[in-house]
Amino acid sequence: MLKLWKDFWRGVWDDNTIFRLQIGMCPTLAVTTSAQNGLAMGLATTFVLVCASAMVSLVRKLVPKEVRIPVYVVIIATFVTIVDLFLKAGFPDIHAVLGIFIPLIVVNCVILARAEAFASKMPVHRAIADALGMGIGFLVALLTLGSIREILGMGTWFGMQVMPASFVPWSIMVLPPGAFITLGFVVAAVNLISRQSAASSQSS
Amino acid sequence: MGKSLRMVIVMTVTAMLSGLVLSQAYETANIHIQRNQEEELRLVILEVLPGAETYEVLVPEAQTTIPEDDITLSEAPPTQQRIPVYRGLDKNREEVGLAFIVENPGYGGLIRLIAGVDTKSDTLTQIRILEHKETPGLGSKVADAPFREQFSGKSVSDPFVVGQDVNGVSGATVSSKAVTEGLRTTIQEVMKRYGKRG
Amino acid sequence: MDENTQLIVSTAPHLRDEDSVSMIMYSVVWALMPATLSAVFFFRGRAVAIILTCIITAMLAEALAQRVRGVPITLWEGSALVTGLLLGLNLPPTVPLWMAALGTGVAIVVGKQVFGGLGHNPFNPALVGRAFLLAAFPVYMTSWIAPFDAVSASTPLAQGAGGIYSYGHLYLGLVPGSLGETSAFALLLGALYLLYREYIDWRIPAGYLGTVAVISLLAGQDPLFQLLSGGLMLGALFMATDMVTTPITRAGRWLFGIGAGVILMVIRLWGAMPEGVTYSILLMNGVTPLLNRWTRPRIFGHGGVKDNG
Repeated sequence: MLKLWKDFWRGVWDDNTIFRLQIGMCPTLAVTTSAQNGLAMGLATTFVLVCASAMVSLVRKLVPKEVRIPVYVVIIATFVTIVDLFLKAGFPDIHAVLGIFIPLIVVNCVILARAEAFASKMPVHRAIADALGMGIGFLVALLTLGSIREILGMGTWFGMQVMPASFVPWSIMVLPPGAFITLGFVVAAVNLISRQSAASSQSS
Repeated sequence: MGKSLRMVIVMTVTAMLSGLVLSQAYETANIHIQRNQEEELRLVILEVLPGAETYEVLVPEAQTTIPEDDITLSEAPPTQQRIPVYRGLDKNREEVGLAFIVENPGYGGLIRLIAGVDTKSDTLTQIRILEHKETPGLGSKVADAPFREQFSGKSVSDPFVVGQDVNGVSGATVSSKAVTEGLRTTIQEVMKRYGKRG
Repeated sequence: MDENTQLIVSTAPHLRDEDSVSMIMYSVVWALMPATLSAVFFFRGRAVAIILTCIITAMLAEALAQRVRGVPITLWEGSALVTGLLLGLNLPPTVPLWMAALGTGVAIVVGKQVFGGLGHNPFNPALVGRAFLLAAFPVYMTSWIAPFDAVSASTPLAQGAGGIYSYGHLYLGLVPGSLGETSAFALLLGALYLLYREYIDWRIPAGYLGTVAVISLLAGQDPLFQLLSGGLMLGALFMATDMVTTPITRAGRWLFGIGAGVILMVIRLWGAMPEGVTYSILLMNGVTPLLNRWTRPRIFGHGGVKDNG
């Protein structure tokens, strides 16, 4: 059980895709204009990550290593298409905003990387724990960025007015430069926290 | 030999399973997707035809079967093969006007818009840009109120020429002309077929 | 943190001397005094409040950022004071004070300290702050009032040449605009002092202003009007001449000035905005390392391409 928790927590914090590995930046910077978009993109990616990792782990002994990458890509693309259709059918508004970035989950390097580096060598339950951790780490990062940008850039959070009426929205935050500025500050904060926790665990 | 055969089998089975799953998912989702699109169309038709409670389809959007009274544009360019036309009805099922979809290439791609005509006064009620790929901040202004609203109240027999009776968006002549000329050609066809005085 | 404080990285031609840094900085402050006084004269209490807000915020942000970074606090070398003062002079007189403070904070923290403090920042910090404010609050950053009476008015550039302002108005600064940018006379007076002390190089303003004049002539615009209006004088004399963010070679400085002039005129003539001094200098700041490398003097005594060929 502890092993599973470690697999999970590594993705959420120690090897967080956005804050630590800094991969999968394209959707991160592009769609985090609001908390809702960040959450939706994070959920979509987590779903694909978990399903694809589980599937890759299940078939890991059947697939010859020469064709493993094409097989993984087909598996990932299948789940991405399902998510795309599901959003289009159930949440057309969100689909209209996320648009091209949903199909682009296929090429999010996190997913193929976890399939290749972890799921293809591990039993299903560990693959799922790892994918869940990675996905939730990604989701938390996107939700954080989307929330900060929406609150400062529009004065709202999930569409609800959270800033006082006298607040003047900083429109730069919902523009592309705002994505980079916010990401920089959040990564700095995460580094600060982990450095302090490392220092305190060392001294204790 | 055995190895490459295994590779072929694995790839084939993977692709087949994926195809099977996706076709099922598509079948299920497509019902909802179409319903969403219809609902969107309904809202926008009722928006451009004030007073309408419901509508009936006179010319549907492109489908496999072509109805008899299909409109084909006589004027070049023949980018729009057919004009989808909808008749707006009030609660007594009396006609309040016609809504139709105009497609004309602009600067960055096809501009798709819906226009409403009040058939009692033969004037345009409103236009709404549905889709466009014009330059943001420049050509995209054809979708904004200042440009769009000058068509409200225009008579269908107006000339519809940028610089004469229509003020173009400055710096975006191509986009302004695409909207105006697309309206001019389609209005004439629609009024000829379905207008009360046509 | 320890391993960072021991590493002091510096590129070859930089000589560092704390005394001369603060001497240069305070000279710049003195050189900006005529423009500051003209701002106070034209825009009264608003100018005082905005400039003081910017300076105080700049000092606080500098001290705070240096404390968080764990480096010695070098508040009295004056570079934060210069950044705050320059940004204040670059703001419209009607801008709310909290906005001025926010922009200054961004200028010091994002524009300077995150790169490693003075000498390491690739972009002019005051202009980073101004660009941030311009993108964040475009309405506030482009509303102007006429000098003396607080009546809203449009800038000479927005009106275009042949507006109601004469060359005399433009030269003295009797026009709507940012606090310190309006008076060409006051700015030139300060810049002459810096030129005399040899703290700024005449090549950058000459290249910048010359290019603007030439392109104006070619485009059929009034060159004198283009030179005197907007933030060009303030930018060309005090911000395009910043030692840290501009090339160190003479040829590089010419290219920097010319490039900034071309970008400015492209924005003024064909862009959606009436003014582009901020972006022209920031963009050229971005290519400064390339200009330095491109115009690096050949080492004496080494065979060049010609000799080998």
